[in-house]
Amino acid sequence: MSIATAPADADHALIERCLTGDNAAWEQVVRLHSRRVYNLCLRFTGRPQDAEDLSQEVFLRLYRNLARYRAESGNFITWLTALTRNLLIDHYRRSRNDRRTDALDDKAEAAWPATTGTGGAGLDHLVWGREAQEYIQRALCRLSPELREVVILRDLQDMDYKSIAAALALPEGTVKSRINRGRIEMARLLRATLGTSVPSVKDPASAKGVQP
Amino acid sequence: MSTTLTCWECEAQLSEYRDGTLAAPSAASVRAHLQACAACGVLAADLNAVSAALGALPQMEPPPRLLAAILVQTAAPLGVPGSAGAARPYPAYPAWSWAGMRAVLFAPRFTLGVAMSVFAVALTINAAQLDLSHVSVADFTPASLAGSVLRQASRVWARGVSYYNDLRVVYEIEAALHQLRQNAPSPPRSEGAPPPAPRTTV
Ligand SMILES: [Zn+2]
Repeated sequence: MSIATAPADADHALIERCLTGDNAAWEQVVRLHSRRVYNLCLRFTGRPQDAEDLSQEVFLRLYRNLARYRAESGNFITWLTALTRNLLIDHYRRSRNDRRTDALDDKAEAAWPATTGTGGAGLDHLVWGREAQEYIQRALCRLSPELREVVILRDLQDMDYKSIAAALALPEGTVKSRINRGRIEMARLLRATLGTSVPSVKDPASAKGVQP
Repeated sequence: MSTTLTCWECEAQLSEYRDGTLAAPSAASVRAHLQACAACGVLAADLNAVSAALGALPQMEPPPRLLAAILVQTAAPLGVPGSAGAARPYPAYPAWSWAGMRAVLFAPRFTLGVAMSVFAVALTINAAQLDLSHVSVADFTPASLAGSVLRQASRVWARGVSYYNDLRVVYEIEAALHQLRQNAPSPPRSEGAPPPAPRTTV
């Protein structure tokens, strides 16, 4: 989903209408943005139930803070992303204990058999298959929250560096380096999970898959 | 014109290289290093694959009850203190009714979200003027929200959602709940499975 889909002016106009008590406008805001918020929560937590609860919380807070948004102005998506992210981080801290339990489960799962055809072939095949999607989600959830959030915003929500920096109130350089570290860490985790050894020197095929 | 990079310098720029945000000379340096260094080439390929795989993860559709729950929770007018989304904005009922219903209806795991979707369903039924005597509390277990007796309700779900925007929502929900309560079994007996459908009570 592209960040640029909803014109900023349209968002502003909708919010104005919400603030006058226009329920239809509010419903439209929810319809326009709930999918995005839900998916952000879902990918960050890896749990549909949590994603649902958190999404509700996001829109509740949004509703209560519409006037503040108008006062602060700015890009609505950025603002909504910041709000969502703050709740996700709160949730992450609150559920630390649950997560420790999960970490044990994950360790057991790390011994999953490698999918067929992965031996030393690089990660190029990852895009395909439901199973691969699960590996990816699991790896995502093992990233530190600092890396996880930027990777999700960049690669899943297709936000550019600048928007991410604005939403997270971080310097752009920090965002860049976190995205890079996050992707590299993902690659490392996936290789470990899939049981492929990092191809040693040679293999011009892997070295070639780089975009010019 | 491209400078020679160390592996460390190259690695630090791989994401920007992929995302196309490097200035041309920097991109050329990275490209040159990747052509010369197999280890970095593999890392770059992995990084690209990861990024592409993440981008290919499907957008999941939020459950329909999420929209309903959000709208119901935010149904109270803006600016009314403590009203918007208060977890239990309907305190006036005798303890056995709402609290009791909730105990029967919801396993501990099902919290506000499901409670609110019950409100929404009740409202939808009300809005569609379905015959409530055919709806029992047992029909509000989470599993049956999607189908069964409430199929008729879900067919008018969309209409109901629009409809309740035009109402004094809170009172409308209260009315729906009031009717529901009359169809509900008397004080719940346990917190276990929902009781058998009391279809004969009305
Ligand atoms: Zn190198």
